[in-house]
Amino acid sequence: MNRIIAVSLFLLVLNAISGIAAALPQRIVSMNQCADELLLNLADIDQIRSVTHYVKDPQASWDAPLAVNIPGNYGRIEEVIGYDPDLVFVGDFNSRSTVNILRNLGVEVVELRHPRRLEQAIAQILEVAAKVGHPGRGERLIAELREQLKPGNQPVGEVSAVVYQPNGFTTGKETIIDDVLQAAGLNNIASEWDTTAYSYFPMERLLWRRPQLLILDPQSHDAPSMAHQMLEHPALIDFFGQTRTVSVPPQAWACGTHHVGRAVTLLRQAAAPIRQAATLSKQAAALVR
Amino acid sequence: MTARLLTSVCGLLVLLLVALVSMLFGQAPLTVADVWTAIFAQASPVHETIVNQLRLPRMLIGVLVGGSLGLAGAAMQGLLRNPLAEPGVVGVSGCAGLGAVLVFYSGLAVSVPLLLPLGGMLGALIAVVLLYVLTARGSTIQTLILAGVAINAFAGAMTSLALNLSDNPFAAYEVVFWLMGSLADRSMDHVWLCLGPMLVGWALMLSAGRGLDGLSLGEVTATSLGVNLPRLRLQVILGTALAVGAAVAVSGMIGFVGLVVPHILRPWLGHEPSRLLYWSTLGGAALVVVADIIVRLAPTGIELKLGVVTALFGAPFFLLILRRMRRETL
Repeated sequence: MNRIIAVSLFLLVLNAISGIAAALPQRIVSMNQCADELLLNLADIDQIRSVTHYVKDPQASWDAPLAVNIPGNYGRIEEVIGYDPDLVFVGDFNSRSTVNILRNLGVEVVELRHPRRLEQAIAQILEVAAKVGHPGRGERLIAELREQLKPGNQPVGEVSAVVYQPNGFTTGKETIIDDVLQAAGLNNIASEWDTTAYSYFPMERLLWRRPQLLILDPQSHDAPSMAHQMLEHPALIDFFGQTRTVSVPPQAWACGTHHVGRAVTLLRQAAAPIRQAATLSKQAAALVR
Repeated sequence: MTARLLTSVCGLLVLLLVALVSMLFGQAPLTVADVWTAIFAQASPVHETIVNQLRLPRMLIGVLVGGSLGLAGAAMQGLLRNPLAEPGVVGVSGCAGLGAVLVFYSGLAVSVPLLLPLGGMLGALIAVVLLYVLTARGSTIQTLILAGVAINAFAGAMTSLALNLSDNPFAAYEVVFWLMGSLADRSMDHVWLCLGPMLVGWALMLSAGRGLDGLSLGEVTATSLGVNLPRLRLQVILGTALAVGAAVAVSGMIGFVGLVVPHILRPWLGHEPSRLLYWSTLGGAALVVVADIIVRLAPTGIELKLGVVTALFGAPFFLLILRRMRRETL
């Protein structure tokens, strides 16, 4: 009797497990680089049928090594249908018509908008983890991220900073980049004006406000552009020479995935000497007095 | 004669004043006194940099580019005896832009910066010569405009193609700079690049005044008056190519300046091209400098392109002239 109960219980559990396994998406396709990054970190590799070509480029993403054996796509509808997907991730840049065709075919489509704030980025990690059936991995990734975001024992004191990219572009208040700067203890001077999102920060304003830390984009291109030539303006060259700069690679924060933790670390390291110098000069002033 | 000289000097002083006033505008909150000390005396390094390295080159390029476009418009209208001839409308600026784009994005201008205005001048030269050949035998409005449409369409398409083929991801967006023009974030380097060819171009065109006066009475009369027509053509063609080519290479295409300015001035100056040349230079310079003030004052976040402002009042003006001309020919 006991034996029968044990066997039927075993069968029941087995059934339940295989039922869960069947419910998990097995043929996931992503058409957006930022979704790719989350997918590669949260799903089993054999759940993924295809990711974009962009994430496979080490210049564009730190997750490229995870994607070596996964076929790439350019987000074109016929490529995607060819993989017979049961779950598709799309982003801001995929066209509405593509999404509609997929939905009409009965494919589940998850839209991941570019996160505007850090909290949205964290919510997205949870969302993707749940969709691919590994919520525990999502929680682990978020725990790691929160660890990196914790202030730790850095010396206090405001350090003014600004993101300055080719064309004089910057990111203002209420953006994920601004959240990252704040997490690193930096005061984003672009948020002193009503600059929101991604916009032009006039060179004149930069030279007048003179932030203590300049956050630059380390990407260089062989081909020239006016956007890059503008960074060689004599007045800027002078200013760059007198100011501490830090390069934050786009792989860290272009997407707003868990990699933003690395950006926080980089910024904190760059700001540390400025804080130390400020503390030292304060102590020196106290001694003189 | 002395009265004329006096008004000419007065015009120059007004332009100087407008140019100085333009240096008061920018995104850093500098007072009039701050700017004054930075220009004429010793100021803090920050103020010095902002005024002398950002606002000064911007103003100088505005004067040089505006002067070139105004003067080239007046000279071309004189040579082609057609009031719609203008570097932008007839495609000279477009070809200059194409030349500069090819030189810049191929990387040639990185090693030899002087090649940038040279590319612009070569493009402009090809367009002026083409235009002259197409409209040499009596330029009706239709032939001139159609030639302009064709040249502009070709130059615009090639410019977009060249920018799209660049390996630099920013290049594709820069089509806006080349097609609409801007003086933002220029440096003294750009002033030195365009100054030489522009001054030579100006000298060539300004000295064509007498010849153009003769030509306004017809080719036969001009020849009998002793005007050397082939030389006159060469002077205006080369002058336009040098000045417009260099202008577009440093500021992109700013349209309608050469059209609007001579037309506004003509009622006051009469139909003597020689006087028009000088005043169109001053007027063009003043117009571009004022447009550049508007661009900086407009509350648009990302700065407006200069060509947007000149087109906003230039295009209706163009239609107005066209209407008036149609009425005259009917």
